[in-house]
Amino acid sequence: MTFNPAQRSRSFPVLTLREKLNGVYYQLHLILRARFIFSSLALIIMVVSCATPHIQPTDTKLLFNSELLGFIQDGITTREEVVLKLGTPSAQFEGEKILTYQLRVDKAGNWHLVAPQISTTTGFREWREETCSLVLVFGADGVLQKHSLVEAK
Amino acid sequence: MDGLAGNQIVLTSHENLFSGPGCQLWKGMIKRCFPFLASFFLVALVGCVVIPTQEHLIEGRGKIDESDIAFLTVSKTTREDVLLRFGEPDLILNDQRIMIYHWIVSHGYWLTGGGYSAVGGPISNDYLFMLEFDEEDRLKRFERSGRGVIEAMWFPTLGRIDNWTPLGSKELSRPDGRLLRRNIFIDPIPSTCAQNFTLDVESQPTRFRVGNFYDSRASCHTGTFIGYMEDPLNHLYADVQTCRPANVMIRAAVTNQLQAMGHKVVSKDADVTITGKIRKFEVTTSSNWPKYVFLGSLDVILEVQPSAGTNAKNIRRYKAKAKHVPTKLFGWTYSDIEEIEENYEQVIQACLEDMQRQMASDAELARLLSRRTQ
Repeated sequence: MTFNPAQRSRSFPVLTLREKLNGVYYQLHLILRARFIFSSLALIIMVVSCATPHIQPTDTKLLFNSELLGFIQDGITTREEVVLKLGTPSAQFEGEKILTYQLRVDKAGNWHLVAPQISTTTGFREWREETCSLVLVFGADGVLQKHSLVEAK
Repeated sequence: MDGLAGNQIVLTSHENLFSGPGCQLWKGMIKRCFPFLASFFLVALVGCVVIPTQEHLIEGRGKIDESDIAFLTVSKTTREDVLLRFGEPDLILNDQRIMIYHWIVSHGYWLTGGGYSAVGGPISNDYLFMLEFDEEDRLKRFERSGRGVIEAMWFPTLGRIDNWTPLGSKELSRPDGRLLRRNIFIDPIPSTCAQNFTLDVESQPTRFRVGNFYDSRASCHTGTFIGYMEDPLNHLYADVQTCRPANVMIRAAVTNQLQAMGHKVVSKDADVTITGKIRKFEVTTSSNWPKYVFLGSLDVILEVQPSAGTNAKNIRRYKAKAKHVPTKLFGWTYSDIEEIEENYEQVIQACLEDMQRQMASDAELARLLSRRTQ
């Protein structure tokens, strides 16, 4: 290899068509490779960030300030009021002492009742994402004694 | 090849190439090494990839950790405490004696492929949290257990539940882990009937309060079970269940009917309180060759108690029956599930409507509910 002073003085080398095409392919290859790396990273981050939701009781203040369940108050609300306003419970226990409802919140923060779904193959309840369970415990006089909102987060 | 120049062509024959002593040696070696070579290529072509991830939920509502169940005390914790803490269970068995929470989490994914095909799936753990309560609604025993993906093949979820539930419980699973019987869920919504009755001009609408409707059926299970579907050989084929408990459904039908008759439902200061007792609410299938007949029956006792005055209860009893004969002949399969559900729904709906018709034409009930203007 010999030293050519003319080549050194050039700031931009003159490329042939083949060399130009190779450069375009190389750039395209780099872009695709970068996209692959970023999409793989995004996938890994998505999968890793999906932590297991944990079943726990939550603060019911927000829920009971809502339009749907604003009427619910311990010691005041009766079973009849609940059934007339919320309809059929998703489950009931110990006769009609304990009623449960399934609820979900939309993006606007409004609460909705959810019809319970049961798997026909396993018999287990099927839960939509972010569905909460509202548990209402009534006394012998039919008045609400305790309540709880259990969510998975 | 040392004596040859770079641009010379060497002519040879097939015999020279494949019958020389060197070639025979190679052939022998290839024959002996064939199993090893085949294994090498198989391993090279078939790959297995394991992608570990953070634990995440793939089935169920959410997980319940050991620390969450630390508060449970046998003979002390009540069903109410459990429900307030964990919410509605995923499965309820043995007349609510057993409650089960179920969830599956994944710790990663496996992927294996060979040639042009590939298979994969989650590396999962299947968890069950099972609780049994006694007659006084207190905790009798509980267990929280998990099974890995391999163990789950030998110990399917429903089989584990069968093993845990007491003897004499309704068996859930077959050895293959599938349900022993299928479930048919129906939600009949009867239309009210008020044409036979109008309020007397001198009467005012009665304010009524609807109390408890007690389900006294022996086979009520969770209150939603209403019968079995049998195949032509009288083998049990499916459990028929209502989406809403029977007492809730019948109470709604009674309330709607009384409202349609012009009375007003209230929660306080009622003139009368109406309670009920369900003696019968069931569907059966009869094989009346070559047709399949759906039969429904209902037996309800209503107790009408005036809020003021005497404590005497006035009892009205309504018995309703309905029969539905679909045009289709024998040969139902589970793929006809929607049609089967419709037939059961129609027959139960007809029963409820029959009860409502009887209420509408019951002069004694009308007298009990009449509230004369002063």
